[in-house]
Amino acid sequence: MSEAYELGLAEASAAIAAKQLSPVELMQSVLARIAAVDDKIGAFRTVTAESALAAAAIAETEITAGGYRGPLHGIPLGMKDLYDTAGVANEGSSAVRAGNVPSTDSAAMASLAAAGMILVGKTETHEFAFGGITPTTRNPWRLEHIPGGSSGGSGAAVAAGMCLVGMGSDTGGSIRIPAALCGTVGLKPTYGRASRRGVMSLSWSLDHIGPLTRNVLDAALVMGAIAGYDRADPATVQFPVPDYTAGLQSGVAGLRVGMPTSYFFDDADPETEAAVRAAAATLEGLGAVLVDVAPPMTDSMLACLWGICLPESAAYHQSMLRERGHLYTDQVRSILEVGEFIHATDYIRALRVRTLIQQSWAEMFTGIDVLLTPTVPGPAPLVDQSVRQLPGGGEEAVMTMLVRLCAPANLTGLPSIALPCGISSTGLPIGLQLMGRPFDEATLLRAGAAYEASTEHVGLLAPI
Amino acid sequence: MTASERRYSPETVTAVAELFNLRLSPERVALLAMEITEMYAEMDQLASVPLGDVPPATAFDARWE
Repeated sequence: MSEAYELGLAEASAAIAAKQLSPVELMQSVLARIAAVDDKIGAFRTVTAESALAAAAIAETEITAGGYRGPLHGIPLGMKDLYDTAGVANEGSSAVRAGNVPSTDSAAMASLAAAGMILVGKTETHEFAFGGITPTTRNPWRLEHIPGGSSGGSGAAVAAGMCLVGMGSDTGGSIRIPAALCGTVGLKPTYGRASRRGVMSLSWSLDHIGPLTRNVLDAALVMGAIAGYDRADPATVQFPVPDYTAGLQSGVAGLRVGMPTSYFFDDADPETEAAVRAAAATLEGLGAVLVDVAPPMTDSMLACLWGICLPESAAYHQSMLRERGHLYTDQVRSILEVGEFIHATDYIRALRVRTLIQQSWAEMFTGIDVLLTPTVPGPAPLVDQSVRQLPGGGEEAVMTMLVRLCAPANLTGLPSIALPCGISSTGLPIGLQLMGRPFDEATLLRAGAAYEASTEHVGLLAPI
Repeated sequence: MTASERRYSPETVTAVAELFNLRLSPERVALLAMEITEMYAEMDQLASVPLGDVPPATAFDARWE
């Protein structure tokens, strides 16, 4: 390690706790990194350099005086430009909300700030989180490729060393897709595990928030700070929050890892399939038991997702679309307008199908502890690429490619973690996905930590 | 119900948009008619799922504390 920005959260916090690294030094390093590379990447919409340095100085004083708050104290944080951040613009990366400066923090920002994290800036999102591309931003591994989305700014920022943690949101994969395409860890917790108060909604019944980080331990540390009940978010539930770091070293002996026999490897890029199956073999070598399963109702996933997401998002944007419709990008405006035409009975049918999906997946999980799949069927597409050529012939829309393997965890609300599991021959990250039982993020983190410790794939910074 | 039964013509889009107070240029009407029809073709895949008395998966929780 030659620069402080290269440290993961846990490494940096250990150095800060030992007074070998000051929060000011760390912040200066991160800000210098942003200055050096973000003109090529475009991960940040707003950089809060002045307030970040001031907060780092305060953190340094507190820690020197014996007021160390814990492993998040003094750590630079990027927040997706959907989260309310008091005094800092929150625009959803859209001209529609230009100049929107909230007076209060979102629940997640408040929790992370209370734990000592320092906002270094707002990261770009696909407009209002409505897409998997993030057109403002490039992939730091290969600048001619997309970073994924919608939390593409957070993925690119974490992968390039411009912050140690980037917060994302996930309605159809928007934490896990950029994590996979940018080579970071991305954790979408169980629906209702973390409060979305103060986060712009895409689809209330599908939205989740969670972190993108360099490694699994970092994700566990952040998850511990944001998990919990919040009366202001009716989706959250009163369910005990464990110490997510407690079992990370417990290994995977006897863990039943479901290997899908259908859908998830269909039309996968051969390198992606090989890397994900190699990861499964790694877990098996560590004592896990691989179990073939046929995930149910996969043919209904995307129709169900759109049937719920489109009318919910159209409802959220109903007034803005009429008052400032011309300020939306054409792509998002069109999707919202289509959402206006979805019948209430179609929406409710999708919600009823969702009930069956949940029931059938619960049945599948009686025989497994986690399900292991690719996160995305191939590496990052090129900027402006609209379709993907399938290995066996034919093509699919890039939007479908990005969303189809992630959507099941949004519809079922099950926790899911994306982990890097290789680099393609074109120099782009490959990601795997683990899904688990409701509120069992701990098992996903434990399996992820075991995998991370056994390979060299997790924790790499993009070579930019 | 099949996709062909749910084809939105530009005239229908215009009429419904007026009902919704949604202003659309003629170019957007034509595009939207095509996109709505495609979306219904996707969503009509759910029509083949037997639902019986299955309730919707709503998230509302009436607890006060």
